[in-house]
Amino acid sequence: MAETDTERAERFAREAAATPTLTEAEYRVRSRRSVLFGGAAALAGVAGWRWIQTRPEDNNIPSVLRDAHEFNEALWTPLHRDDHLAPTFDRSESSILRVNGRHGLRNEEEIDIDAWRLDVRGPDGDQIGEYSLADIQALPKVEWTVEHKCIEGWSHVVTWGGVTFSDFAELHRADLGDGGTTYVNLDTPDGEYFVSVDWASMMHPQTMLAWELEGEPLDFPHGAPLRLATPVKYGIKQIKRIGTIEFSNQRGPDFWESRGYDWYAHL
Amino acid sequence: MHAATLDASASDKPPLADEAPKGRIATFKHSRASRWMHWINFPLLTIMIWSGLRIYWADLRDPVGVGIGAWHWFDLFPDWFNERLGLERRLARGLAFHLAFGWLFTFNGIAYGIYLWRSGEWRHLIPGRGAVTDCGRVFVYDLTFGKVGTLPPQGRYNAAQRVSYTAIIAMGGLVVLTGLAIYRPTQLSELTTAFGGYESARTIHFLTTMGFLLFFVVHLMQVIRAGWANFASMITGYQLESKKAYRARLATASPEADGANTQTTEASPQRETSRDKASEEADGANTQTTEASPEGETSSDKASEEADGANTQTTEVSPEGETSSDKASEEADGALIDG
Repeated sequence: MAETDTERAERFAREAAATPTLTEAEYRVRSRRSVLFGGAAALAGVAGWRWIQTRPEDNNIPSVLRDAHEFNEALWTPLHRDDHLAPTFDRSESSILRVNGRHGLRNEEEIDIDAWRLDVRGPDGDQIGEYSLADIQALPKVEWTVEHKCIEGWSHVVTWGGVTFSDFAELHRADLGDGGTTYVNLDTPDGEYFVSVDWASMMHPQTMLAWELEGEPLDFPHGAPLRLATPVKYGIKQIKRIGTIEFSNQRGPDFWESRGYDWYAHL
Repeated sequence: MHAATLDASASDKPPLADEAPKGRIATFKHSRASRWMHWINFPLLTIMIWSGLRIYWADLRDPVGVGIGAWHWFDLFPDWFNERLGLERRLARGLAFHLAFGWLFTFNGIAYGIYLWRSGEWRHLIPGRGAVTDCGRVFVYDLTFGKVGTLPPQGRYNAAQRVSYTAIIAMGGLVVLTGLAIYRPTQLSELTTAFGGYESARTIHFLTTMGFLLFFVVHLMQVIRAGWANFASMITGYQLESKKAYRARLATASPEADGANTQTTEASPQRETSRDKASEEADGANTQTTEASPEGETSSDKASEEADGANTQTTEVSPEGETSSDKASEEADGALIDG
């Protein structure tokens, strides 16, 4: 039964009668106290805000914010599920990705793909492999359509073709042992662009070394001859024109981390 | 009432027992927990929106707008706003602040949710069954300047406030969930899919932000309109009002438009209440008709100032709930409207 207005009014009046009250004098005391406490809290808030802004910078952001990035990384790393796939899309939904960055590609607009070699290094820095594009293309090819996401916010459905990184790393199981390494550090041939990525993300079944975009060989602006493509990281980690892959137990330098971004950049 | 247990500093004297018949009285309104969480939330949400806009404007080529097909109506957060506030090219810091303070915003929200649930305060906030009808009644009544219909009785908040305050809590939940959906769209892909995918979750996230900004503008206007005592209650916890207004509120929580005859006596068994005719002004002396005398009789006379004073020791309304049908004073009405 719905309550009538009368019943409702009575109920509210009872509530009002049962509500504690203060005399005006008591209220004044309380008011003074509240203003003091509130004012102190507001000042503490302002001081805290200034404190954050004035921390020494760690890789281009106040250190406390870098700590927050690391907290988030520590929180999400154990939650990363190796077998949990990003949604895939129908091929018809995908199209050519816009070119959004040319770091590491500027020195030479085009390189000689036949002369290009992928330099692979082990944990102690020694070369453990060298591959031509044909060598890489001889590995089992996969293709899927996923949403590519930029840290700037935009996303684009795109089809990549290549070899999963885990299949590639399998070639070096003898060098690396079953557990692999903690990080994989990747550089462009000119060393102008570089990323480092956690092992779990590299081993994700949708992380690949790609040589095809939309079924066509990569063009230079998109990272020919070989680039990283993965739906578990933002585009800033998906390095174009890979020159060196270093399996390492040390976190290598990261281009965008040093410019204030989160190293983990996970999705 | 749990309100009393939440803030134990309240006086346990009978409400109107102090010597002066006139003057003011302060009634408990916002618990300490509510006040802290409200004022913590305000800067946190401000930081979230400010840092969020830095992220939003990182991609200037793809503004999220509203339109159908090729017809583009407007962009959320237009460029001039962006330029004016100098929010461009601040993505790294925007992200750093957003993803750090997001947790504080979330925890404050969760704490508030738990508090509402454990304290029973949610009863003051959730819209009742007739909330939509009530909102309609308020709308019609206000639009016709009181010529059509009656205002529904209200407790601490009116129906429109209940709807908006509940909605703002739901929006808080929505903005956190859509935020997580776009923060970890691969790891939390089920959540992202539940919001219709990445782009859709992003749009919902932005629209919710617009909702917060809209709420803020309306909230601010309402708070200004409701006056200082109401605003101060969000700091002190108690709202100061005239004793006349207070008594009117005890008499009935509803400003009844058509007077006494809409409610007939529901006297408690031990007591008899007689009714006063509602006067046009209604905010006059007759508001004290609820004051049951210890012998169980209530005077229906129009009280003079002296009578008012004399009755002050008999002000406790019986829990069985006598009510007066008097029209509540404008003042009482005003005191209940806030942002």
